[in-house]
Amino acid sequence: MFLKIILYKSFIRNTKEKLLVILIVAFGASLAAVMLNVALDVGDKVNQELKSYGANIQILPKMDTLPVEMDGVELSPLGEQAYLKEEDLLKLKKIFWANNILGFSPYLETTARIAQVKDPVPLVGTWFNKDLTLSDGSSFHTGMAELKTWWKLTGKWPNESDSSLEIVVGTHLANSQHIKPGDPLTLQVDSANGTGAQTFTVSGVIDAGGPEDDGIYAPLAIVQNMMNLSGKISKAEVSALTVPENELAERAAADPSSLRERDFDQWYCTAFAGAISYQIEESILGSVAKPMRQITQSEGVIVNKIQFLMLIISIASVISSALGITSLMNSKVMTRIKEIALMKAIGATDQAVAFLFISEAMISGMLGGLLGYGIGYGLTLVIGKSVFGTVLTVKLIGLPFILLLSVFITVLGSYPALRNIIKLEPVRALSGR
Amino acid sequence: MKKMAMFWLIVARSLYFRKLRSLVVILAIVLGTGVVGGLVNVYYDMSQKMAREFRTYGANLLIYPAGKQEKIELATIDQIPSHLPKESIVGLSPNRYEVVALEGKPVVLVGAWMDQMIKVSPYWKVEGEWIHDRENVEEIMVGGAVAKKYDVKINTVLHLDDKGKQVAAKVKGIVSTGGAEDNQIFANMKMLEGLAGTKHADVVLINTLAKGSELEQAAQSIQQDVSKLSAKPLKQMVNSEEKLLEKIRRLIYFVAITIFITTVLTVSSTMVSTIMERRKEVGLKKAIGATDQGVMAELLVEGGMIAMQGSVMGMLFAYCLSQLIGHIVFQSEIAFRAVIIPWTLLGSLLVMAVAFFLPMRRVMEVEPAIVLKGE
Repeated sequence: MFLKIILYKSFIRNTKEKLLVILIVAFGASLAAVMLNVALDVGDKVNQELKSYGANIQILPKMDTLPVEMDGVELSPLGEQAYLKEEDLLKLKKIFWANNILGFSPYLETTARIAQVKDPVPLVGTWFNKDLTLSDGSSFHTGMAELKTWWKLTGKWPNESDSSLEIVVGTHLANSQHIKPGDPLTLQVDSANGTGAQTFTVSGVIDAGGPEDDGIYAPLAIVQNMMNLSGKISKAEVSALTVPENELAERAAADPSSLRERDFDQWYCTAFAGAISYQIEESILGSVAKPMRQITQSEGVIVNKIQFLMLIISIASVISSALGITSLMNSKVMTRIKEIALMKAIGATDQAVAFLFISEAMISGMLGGLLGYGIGYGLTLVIGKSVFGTVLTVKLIGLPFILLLSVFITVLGSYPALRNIIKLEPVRALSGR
Repeated sequence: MKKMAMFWLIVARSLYFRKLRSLVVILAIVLGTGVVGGLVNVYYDMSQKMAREFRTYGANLLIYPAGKQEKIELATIDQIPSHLPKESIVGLSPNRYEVVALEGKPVVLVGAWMDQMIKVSPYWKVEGEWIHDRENVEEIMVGGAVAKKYDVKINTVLHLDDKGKQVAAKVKGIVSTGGAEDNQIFANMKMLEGLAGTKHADVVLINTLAKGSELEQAAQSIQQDVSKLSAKPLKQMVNSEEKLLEKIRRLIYFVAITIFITTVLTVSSTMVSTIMERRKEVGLKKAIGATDQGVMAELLVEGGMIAMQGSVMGMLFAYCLSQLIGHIVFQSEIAFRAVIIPWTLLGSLLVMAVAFFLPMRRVMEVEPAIVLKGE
């Protein structure tokens, strides 16, 4: 009871002094909170940035023969080609990690002949801006415009309505043939049942900075019609948010069925590229889904490095703010020599005095930690906005950690000085020595 | 002369007798300047360090023959490196494709400089071992899908048939990438030359640190100066790499500033309270005839010395921290920038100055008689 009064008075009478302590504890705690939030979320954010590396999972039809492909050109005889069903792609949004599937696009690849060009040109049927209605009634927007964010488009994406005859052309091809958006272009396609020719309008020219610059991209339905393969696709690309591979993922990649049940569950429920591919294969019959190591591996390396960097920086900043708080508490206790001596002189035990001061430190630490978490929350939002342009997710798990940390550090900071002072004879302290 | 000696004696004694308090302040400065300085070092070296990590992506400059039916002469490959910035080549290998028969079925055999492929395509997952020698014509590496289909294990001997000409080779490693490589077989250029009897390449893969306009310039100069070649830079990653680096750098910048502010706040608040404590001392000094300036000079020099000690140690700490980050995160050294030395010194002196001048007036105003009487 008495302790409560002393504590209460100590905070009321010395508001300014206490406020300063709380503020500084809050500042240190906010730094720790920010770093914690950033370190916890930076992996996801970096991964999202790296999505412009391209899709990281490829879905192919299961085939009996190995494809004979040289530098991107398929040499297998036409008859052996297997296909996937276009409608099966909707199942991608029903797998366990459906929310991590950021986008996907089907491809139907063939070659076409253009007048004046000696060699056949790659012709790819695909989605550009597709609005899908999922089984739960929600809609999902995907296609090349979403998937290939680094493609520079001059003109506009083709209209994908059934009657549309619009295509986009790669920049190399367009330059060498002097094709501009708006020009007509006649394509000839060989298929199993004869040769078909059709005249299209070039709606845009794309600069992809890669081999795609030599090809032609048309709405999927048109290419399906030209090849007489309605509803079929030859492959699909999926862009998924994944976590870097670890030892478990490596083992699973070799053979998922070799894992023990617990390991398998853990692998299946982690967003590894391999686990997502496995779930895709489960849901789309007759498909082979493969993580693109070129993409997943570079993403993994970079995400790991940056996460590690952030972790070290957070530890360093937590230590530096902890030390700051410690030195402050130390000097604050020193200024109260007389008060302590007086209490002892009128009969307080050492334990009682220590208990009082530690309670005070704990309250300051608690308040400072709370305030700091609040400031940290704001700062995290600011950093998220100005650095990543999105909101960083603030995980509530940080709050107890920050509170504990600030209380612990505040108490730790006042303890050594407190111990020294309590040992002093009251007479000496009071007499002004 | 004597007066100066006395002045330094007072400063030295004062530091000595309050060593615990000074130590705490020094430690705070050491940590503050150390962390900020270390971050500045990392900040400057980041792009260079990360550029190497980004090269996990593999080849970013592809050299093709100028015409579709042509091939690349092996001799022209030697001319390529001089067109790229010095030491920017991570890996370079010509590739040549032949369709050979394996158990009667066609499969693509890729000829390369296998000692370079590990640098050109660091993302390959290899079970078994890489071929580390360009001259090795007894061993091959096979793609994962090929291995599965033909039940190939490490050390299996495969018989490859190129239009009647046979070669037997031992499998040294199995490659999985999720891409076209899974369906291919890899061997040294020399083995293909022996099989086919001709010497040429279909494409040259280059993994280089050059990026953006540098890369495009290199591609252009190769195309102009080396006849019959066409160079294609892959630009898709450059953009996102730059953007990402910029973001991480901004993040570090943010953190450095916040740590700096925390240090300023804690150091100055600690100093303020230590100085306030010394009103009695100041009063005594004034009572026995010290001037205001004299007392101020003493306190300032004292603070300055603490700041100097702190920042010198802080710089050492900064060096250690940046090396630690360099080694743990990037497995290489991070250069120490001399720029940070004057700035850390200046910064900590400034913090000290602020911490001194805030309470100085109140300390100087003390009436010796009142303070010394005990109130």
